[in-house]
Amino acid sequence: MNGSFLDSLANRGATPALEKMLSYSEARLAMISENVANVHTPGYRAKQLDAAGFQRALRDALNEKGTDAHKRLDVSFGDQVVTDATGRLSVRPTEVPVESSLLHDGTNQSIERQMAMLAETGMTYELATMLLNGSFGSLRKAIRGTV
Amino acid sequence: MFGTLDTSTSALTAYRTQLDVIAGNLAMKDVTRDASGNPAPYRRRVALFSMGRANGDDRAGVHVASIKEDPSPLPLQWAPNHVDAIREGKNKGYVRVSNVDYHTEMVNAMTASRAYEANISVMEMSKRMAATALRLIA
Repeated sequence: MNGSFLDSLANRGATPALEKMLSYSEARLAMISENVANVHTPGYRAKQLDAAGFQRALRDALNEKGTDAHKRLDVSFGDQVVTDATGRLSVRPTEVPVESSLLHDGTNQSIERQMAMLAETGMTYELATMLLNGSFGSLRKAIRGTV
Repeated sequence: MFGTLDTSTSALTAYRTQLDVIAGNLAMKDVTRDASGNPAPYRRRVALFSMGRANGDDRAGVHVASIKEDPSPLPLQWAPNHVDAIREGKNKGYVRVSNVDYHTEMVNAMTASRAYEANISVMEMSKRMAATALRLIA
């Protein structure tokens, strides 16, 4: 954060956390679409992201950031989630270990799980955009000076 | 977000190709001669799926790497009056027919169309998510 007025406005309250949630959901959707596209590809190993782990990491990062509007929200979770130097979230799904149920064509996929995750990702994304819309809305009200 | 749509599109193309192959197999089940009229029963084709997009693009996706002939043996069918019936030897009176099996093809067609639908669902979700994100700006 270079400390400009607008930056500090956008880096307040829930906004940075919601932004991270959106980036994460987008990356998760990309992972699901790859898994579903390759559902019958011989030898393809499904990729996974630990959403609960990400949420724990996000909570820890929020606790560390506190209410300081000039401090960057730095979420990192193992190999999967890294916040790079510019503050962007980079998400790298890992392969599902081979020990889990392995089918005769060398894949380890469950389309049901993927579709459930798809619904979950969509709802998370919608929730985050709704909340973000709310916080932008109150900012807009403050700028206009009318309710 | 739009890259996600491309991933799903590659899968749609691949499954469409697989369905084409299945349609071809079903259409040519009873073929006992090749295009120039020589006796050569039709061999079942299979679409082989491979990771990454077509033409060496290794971004997330799937494509049909090749369409191969099924090497399984061609079954014999009892049809002594068929013009292509075997005239002598222990298989006299039989005709070599294609190794297409209706049941296998129908099951494969169902799997392919379900996979097609699954990819459509992912596309719908990508579209919906992009739309909600765009509403933030508008």
